Amino acid sequence: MNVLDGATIAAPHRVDCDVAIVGTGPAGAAVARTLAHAGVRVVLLEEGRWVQPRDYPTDGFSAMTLLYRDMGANVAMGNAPMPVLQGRAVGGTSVVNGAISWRLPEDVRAGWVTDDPGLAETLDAAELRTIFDGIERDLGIAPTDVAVAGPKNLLMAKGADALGLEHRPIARNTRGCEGLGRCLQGCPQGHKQSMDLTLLPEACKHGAQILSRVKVTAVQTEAGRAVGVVGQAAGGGQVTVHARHAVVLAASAIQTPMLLLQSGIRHGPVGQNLQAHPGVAMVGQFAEPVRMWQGATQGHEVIGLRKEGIKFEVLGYDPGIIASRMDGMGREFSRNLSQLAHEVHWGVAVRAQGRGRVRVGWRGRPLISYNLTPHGVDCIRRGVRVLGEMFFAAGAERVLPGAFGWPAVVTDRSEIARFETEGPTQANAYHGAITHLFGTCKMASDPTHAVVRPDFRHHTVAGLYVADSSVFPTATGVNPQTAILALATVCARRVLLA
Amino acid sequence: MNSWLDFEMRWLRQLLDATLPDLPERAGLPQVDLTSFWPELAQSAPPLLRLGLRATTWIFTWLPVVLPGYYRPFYALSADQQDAFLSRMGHTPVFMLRQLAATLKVIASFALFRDPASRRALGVVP
Repeated sequence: MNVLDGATIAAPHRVDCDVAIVGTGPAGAAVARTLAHAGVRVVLLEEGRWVQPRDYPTDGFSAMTLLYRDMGANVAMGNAPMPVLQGRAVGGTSVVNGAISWRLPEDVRAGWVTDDPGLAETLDAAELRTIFDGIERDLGIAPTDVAVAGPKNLLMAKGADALGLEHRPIARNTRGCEGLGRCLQGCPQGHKQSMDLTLLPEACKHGAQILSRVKVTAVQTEAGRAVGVVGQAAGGGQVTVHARHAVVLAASAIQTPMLLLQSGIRHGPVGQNLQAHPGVAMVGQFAEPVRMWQGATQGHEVIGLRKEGIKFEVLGYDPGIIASRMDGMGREFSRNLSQLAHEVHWGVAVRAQGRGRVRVGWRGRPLISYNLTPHGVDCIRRGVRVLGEMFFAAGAERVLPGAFGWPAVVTDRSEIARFETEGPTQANAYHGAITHLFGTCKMASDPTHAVVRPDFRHHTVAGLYVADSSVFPTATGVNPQTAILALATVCARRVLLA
Repeated sequence: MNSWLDFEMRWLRQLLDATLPDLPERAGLPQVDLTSFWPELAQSAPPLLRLGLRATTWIFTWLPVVLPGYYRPFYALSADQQDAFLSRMGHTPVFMLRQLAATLKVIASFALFRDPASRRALGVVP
């Protein structure tokens, strides 16, 4: 792959190209591949480093320091402070996510078009279907093989069956998965088809260049047109990329609005309308060892309540993170570690109605605000109840709801059945996290309510495009990677047409 | 952590060790060498986490001084008292104190499971 490490750039460095792309996650990679195939000279800029799969750390802490933005400890402030998990590496979050793949649900697509008929051409169902077919083929997207699922995934299937809930193996972008359970630390065997192993090498084969460890600090404009970007290399040199044709921002729903704000491009509700899928994890303890760090990281999901904004997934992370969720402090905590192999974590993710905001904070750091609404809390209460009942139906002896104000350990199914109506209503009673972010550079026809046009062009700055999930009008209610890939591909086609 | 004073680091280490102490049947965090852990944490932790960890260190070291039954800083408490104090913080209705306790648990867990010997002892391979 054609990667220049910014750590080696100590002096001013200038690059000329047709299109500069900020970010190498799914959005940036999809745009780069499409443009490079068309013969466009593309340069991608990435703040993180390029890490080979063989160098991915074994333990969760080292993986988070190496591959995650702010070691996954950046927090969305609000009535329930929640960590915001994002990757920071060549390949973006695709390097450290669970490889979960969902097409943009038709009901979500149709809802967007109904709300803004101007989006109909961009979101043409037939064009998207063709793009999704190609993505699924190229990334080996297929349901998780039962042979590598491991007990934690099979137990969810058993629990959902008992409750009569619709469920299925998760479709994932993997090839030859061995069920190592290390997706969230980066697959050491390179089985996960993350962008650094798939679309980016393909783009580079067609002439694209990647500048890693270069933090873009501003979009440059001249006479109302984007003409390039400037950034700071890890080696200390200033990097200037002059883009003859266009600048495409694909840095995520946090970093893209930040970059626009820092560049003085403040048109529209930039940074506003932040939407997300807050989620909480619940613990089940089984008599037999389950070893949740083994088997496909996230291999099964329950989708029966998806249209009500609630989705359930198996979780799989390093024992260092599992342990921190265990009950107790001091000796009780140490003693509870003996239960580690018996624990399974399942999560509920919510298509929440909250609207947050991204601002530029101290020293240019993102200041993220987000509140869980009463509706979001209600969904979580329902989700915890369903998860608890699924755990018991799957054979768990104990469940740990993880909600302050409710018994830490529940052994009676009737006690968890009451959770939906009697569980805590304060948002901060729950320990959640945010993994999917949308809407901070909303795409719409009306320039007063949007940052970019339906063809991904910025409403007021010519030659400037946004391709990541910040353009999504709303949260999707499902894992967004494949939808991001598809819409970014549409964005690239619009760049080619311009 | 680079700007932390030596005594602050000692206080933090005492808090972390008491969060995941040794048991008769298994070694805990006190047996883990954290020499290489600190610089990795210092380099990667965002400002809010560093601030939170420092606040945790000061508040949990000195809060026992004003709590009935303790009346001494954390480092001067007996092992039983330290255990009781941390357990109380983990279940306090005061959200901020619970968050500080959760911060300690996260850092202690990361540190323990970064150590290959500790992973093996708990049956985690690799």
